[in-house]
Amino acid sequence: MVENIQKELLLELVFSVDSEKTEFEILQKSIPLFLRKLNCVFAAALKKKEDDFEEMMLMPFVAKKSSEWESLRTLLLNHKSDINKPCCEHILNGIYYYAFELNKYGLLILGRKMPFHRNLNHELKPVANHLGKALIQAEEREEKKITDLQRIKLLKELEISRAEMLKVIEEQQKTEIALRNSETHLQTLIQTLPDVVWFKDINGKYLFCNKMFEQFTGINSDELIGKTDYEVYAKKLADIYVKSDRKVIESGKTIRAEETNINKESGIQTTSDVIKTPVYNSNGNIAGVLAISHDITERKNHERALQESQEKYKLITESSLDIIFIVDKFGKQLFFNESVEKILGYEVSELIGKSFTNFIPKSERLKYLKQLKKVFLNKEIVNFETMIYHKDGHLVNAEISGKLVKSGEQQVGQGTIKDITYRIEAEKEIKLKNSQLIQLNAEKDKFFSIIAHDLRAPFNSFLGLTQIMAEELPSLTMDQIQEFASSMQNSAAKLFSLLENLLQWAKVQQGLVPYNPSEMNLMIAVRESIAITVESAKVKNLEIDNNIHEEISVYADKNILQTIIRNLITNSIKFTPKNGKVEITSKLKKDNKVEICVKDTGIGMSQKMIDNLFRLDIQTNREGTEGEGSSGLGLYLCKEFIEMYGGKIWVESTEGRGTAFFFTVPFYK
Amino acid sequence: MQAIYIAPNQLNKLIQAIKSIEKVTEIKSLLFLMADNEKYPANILCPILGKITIPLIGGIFPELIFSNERKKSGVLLIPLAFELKTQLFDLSQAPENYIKQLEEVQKDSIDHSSALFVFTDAFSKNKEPFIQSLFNFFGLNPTYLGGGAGSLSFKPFPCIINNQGIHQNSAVIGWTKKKVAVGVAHGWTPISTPLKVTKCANNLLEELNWQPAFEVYRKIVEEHSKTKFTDDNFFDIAKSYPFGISVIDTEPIVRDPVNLIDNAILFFDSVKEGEYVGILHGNVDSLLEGASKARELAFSKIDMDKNSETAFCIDCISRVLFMQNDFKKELDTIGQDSQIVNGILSIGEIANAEDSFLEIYNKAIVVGLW
Repeated sequence: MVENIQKELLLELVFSVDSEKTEFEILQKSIPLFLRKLNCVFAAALKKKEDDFEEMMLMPFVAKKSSEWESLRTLLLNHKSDINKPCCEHILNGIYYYAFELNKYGLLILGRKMPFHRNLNHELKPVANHLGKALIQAEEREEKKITDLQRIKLLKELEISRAEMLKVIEEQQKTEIALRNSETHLQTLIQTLPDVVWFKDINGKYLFCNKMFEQFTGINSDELIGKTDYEVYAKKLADIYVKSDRKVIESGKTIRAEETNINKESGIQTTSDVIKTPVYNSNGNIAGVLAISHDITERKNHERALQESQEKYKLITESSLDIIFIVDKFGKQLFFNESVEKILGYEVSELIGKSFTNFIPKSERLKYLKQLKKVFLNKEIVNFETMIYHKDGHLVNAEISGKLVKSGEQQVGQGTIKDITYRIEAEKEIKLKNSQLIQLNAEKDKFFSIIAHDLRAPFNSFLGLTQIMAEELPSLTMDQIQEFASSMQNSAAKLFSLLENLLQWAKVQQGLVPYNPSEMNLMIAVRESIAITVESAKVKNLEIDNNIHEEISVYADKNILQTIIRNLITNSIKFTPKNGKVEITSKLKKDNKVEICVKDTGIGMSQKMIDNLFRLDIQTNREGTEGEGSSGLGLYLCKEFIEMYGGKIWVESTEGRGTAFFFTVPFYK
Repeated sequence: MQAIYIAPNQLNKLIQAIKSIEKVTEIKSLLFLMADNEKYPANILCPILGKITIPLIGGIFPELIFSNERKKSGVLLIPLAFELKTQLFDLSQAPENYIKQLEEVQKDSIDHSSALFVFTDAFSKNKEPFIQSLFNFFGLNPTYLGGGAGSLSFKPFPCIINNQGIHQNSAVIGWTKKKVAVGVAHGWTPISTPLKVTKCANNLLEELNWQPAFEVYRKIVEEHSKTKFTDDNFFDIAKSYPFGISVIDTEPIVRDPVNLIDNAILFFDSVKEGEYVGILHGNVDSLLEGASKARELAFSKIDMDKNSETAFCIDCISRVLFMQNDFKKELDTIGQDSQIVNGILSIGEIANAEDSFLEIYNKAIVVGLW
């Protein structure tokens, strides 16, 4: 069984060698197999290299680092093969090392812990030989492959080079043809160009010029070629040309300039836009200057005219006090003069390019757009008022005028904006004053009609009574006479009161009532006023209470203050039924005023009466609770007096319960 | 300190056990071995693993061995009085990377008296190139011992454990400058002449001697066992008739058939085209003899009193499935001189016993002593 195994294993080792593989592949398969099948602890394949061995494969790798291996290699290098022995044997550190010849390839080294059986050694020799032959064949194949590969590579490279060379030659031929064509084209181009072309050498001699040059300058190319500017032009002109040529040569850069020319034949002066560029030779040095120039005489003339026009326009626009603007058909602002800053507070740059609707209140935009439409579509001249936002936010009243004009190729709207704020303000003022005047006149007319009506009544009564007295006195009894006299006295008193009020009102209207305020004790002033009216109060058994604080002092005109108090108290007495009460009180206000109140327990007023109380044109007077007369002027006078020194008067009243009049007087500290 | 076993669903005890281990200054590292059945889920275990302060490696295996007893569930903590230089490998990466990674971490791990613990995901396709890389890097300097982690359900899942958590399609190593004696044996003996693997694809053996593999296998096994294969008894018979890859001067490397796919035989681990394999057979006695041999081999390599120290056993789960109730005898064989046997029942065993190429074994027993 053992021999069978040995035989089979040897066969396995032989058959495992695939002679079609590379050296590395053969060894990669064989070495582990030798290790395993022959129960070895070490296996290696060494390739002969002149005086040394190349380690083709070694297992385990770690053995390579051992001193044992170094010793073994040395032994193997020095060994001489013996045909009578199957292999070379060495024992190192208890390991049996066998070196079998791999034909002429090298050595197969096997290491074992136990020695091979002698027979096995002999059996292994041809196996190792077979392995060696396969390795040699693989090596030769590899070399041949490399050679073949190298040959193929070389051929390929040659082929590539040849192909490249052919390509280069072809390219060159193409280039030559292209160059020839290009030159012809170039010549045609230069000669037919509408611009002037010339070329000077580094010394300033003309080497070339085109037909346009001849036309422009009036100089034939025959007269020009080989000459410098000094030989062709006047010195002054030649200096200019030569100077700019020098600049190109020295800087090595292209320059652009305007040059003046004078046609030699016609003497006409022209201006050209010249581009001069350095021309380099194959050495990289500047060989000359090439120039191409374009006649810009007409353009310059236009520019000059335009500039003059612009300057005129600028003068007009800058000196205008109104805003001058230009707008396009889309409403975009194209121009503003500097007045825009004075009137609207904006710098010109803040408005240019923007739509003006952005600066107009929403309510005015539609109007503005309609006007714009009229200008551009209907070609109308427009003039309208609107409002524009100042930069600081307030509105400026403006009058805008505009019309359609042509600017270059496009049609634009041109106009002015005038600040009419002051005019509008003035108009408003006038309107206000007018309406006030009208109202005042209306009030006065009404007033006089009321007065006339009020005067008539007592006069009628007076006339009637005096007529009866005159016609029927002898027949009248003393009682009747007494009665008539009393009525006449009443009427006279009413008339007098009315006339007195009228007179006082007239004085107030004319500003003849003096106002001389001074410090006074309010309580005393009220007391004095009450004293004048107390008799009227007694008739109706009315109580008049002076509840003014005795320490309060006011700053007012004494006569006027007492007139006011007296009028109010008189009113309260008139409209308070018998056994009622009138009370005068005061209150110190925060605004340094004293609020005086005259309050009664009278018949009160309706709201309608209160609303019309201080109006001249509406009759609000009524008889007192005992038929006392009332002109209605008294309260009006109170109001006039109070407002004269900056005070206020108002009333609170409830019908059937009473009335309270309030007015303010400056407090005296 | 002795190994500690924690039954499942006793998380607090596990945490306490870990803490008690960490408190012992002599303990330098830890083997963390968990059974597949009733295992702690990753979301619970990973935080615990992350907090362990000493290096640990381990895995989830079909079963555990604790104090000479099989444990179908639970956690086995084996404290080590020597430090492990641990490293995790992602086996989904190209094998060329493994050497580079080893060079980065283990370049100073060179000592003739050293050991390398290895646990791999048993269902990873790059297991073998990884093992080869380990051998290439470490050579014969360390003693290798380890096994394949996973579940008998044959479904891949995260089963490799280290301080960073639980990983799938991975492998973990722990190198130590400590002499560990290892003995490997199995007890299976050939019953056929060598058969050439003429067609195979990794783990799937399609042809033997240019004939359908199962046809060749069936003929030999049915004759030997006097039993016929039916549609549903393949594994029951095949578990007693593994294959062995022939190697000179040593026991064949066992390959465990696990399934039949048409006329092709599926193994746990790979066979190579051109190799010669034999059909093996064993019985309880031969297996026990193998266990005893593994033990003797281990003890022969270490100066130790046979009556003291713990034996770490990596036993193939398929031996358990084969021996069934007689498996206890195997553990008793290992612990015959009152050794406490702790370890794992794995899917594939990794060992070399210093005198051979590093291999993945099936149906073998590896005994380690330190």
